[in-house]
Amino acid sequence: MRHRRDWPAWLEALRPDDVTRERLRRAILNDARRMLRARRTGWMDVAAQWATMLSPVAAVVTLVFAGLAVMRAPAESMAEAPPRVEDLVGSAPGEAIPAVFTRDTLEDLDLDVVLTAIATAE
Amino acid sequence: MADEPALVLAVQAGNERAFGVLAERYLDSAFAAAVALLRDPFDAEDAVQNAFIRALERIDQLKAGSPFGPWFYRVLRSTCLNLRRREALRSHDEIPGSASGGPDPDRDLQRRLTRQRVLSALGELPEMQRMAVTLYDLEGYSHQEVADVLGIAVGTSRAHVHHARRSLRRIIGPEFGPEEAERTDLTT
Repeated sequence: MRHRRDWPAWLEALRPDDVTRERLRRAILNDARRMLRARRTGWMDVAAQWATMLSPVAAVVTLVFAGLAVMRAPAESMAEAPPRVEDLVGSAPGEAIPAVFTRDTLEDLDLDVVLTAIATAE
Repeated sequence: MADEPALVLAVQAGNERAFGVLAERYLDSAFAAAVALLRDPFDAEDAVQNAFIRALERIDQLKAGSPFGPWFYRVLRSTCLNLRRREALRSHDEIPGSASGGPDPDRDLQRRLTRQRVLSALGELPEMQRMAVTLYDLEGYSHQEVADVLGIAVGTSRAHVHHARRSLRRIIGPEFGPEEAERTDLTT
């Protein structure tokens, strides 16, 4: 590329004068600034639009998961082991232990055995 | 002077200052080329401004490492031709002077007169010859580069520059420069 002083004489006449040059330079740079900023703002707008569009979806998903968590919570508490006889006795230390509770509650109780125990207690 | 491909990459990344450097670098020559093509400084000003903005809009199309200049002159030429088509009905018989005044009225007057003579001389050349000789003399482009910008063969560029220079020398006279002013890169 030629430098400023290298232009042939006939082309020098076509060079912009200082005022024209400055006006043109400012106009070009102002346009460029506006365009580059619009391009940057454009990206931010797109991101903001996506965020706005996705926020209700995010809220619904959160609610669904919260609901599932709430629904699972009672099921887990029901799955807990039944209270042990020793714990019940420990909670009322002065009381006599009914015969029906002296058996291991983890064993399967036969109906006859239960009825016999009730009759004996009465 | 900053590396031009690096400046182009920076502009592609949205760097405003890099674009400013490129604009500064090409502003004078773009204006001269536009005046040579349109023969109207006011139209040339519009064309140069539009060409820079079009170039910025399409800067992503410029491949990494490619020179900015020839690509930009293609954009400028196309902008000038579009502008001329739009204003086809406007008369160019009366060539206006400088787009604005300067601090030295005598120098400005002299400049306007010289510009008018040069523009009148350019007006007698076909558009391709005008653009070819301007790029060749203005930017010091080789015939290959001129051919790339104008989309013509290298031999055609050589012929355009040769005929244009001969015509300008005849019309403008000794001010155009000595006979041997044409560079010796006739093989390129």
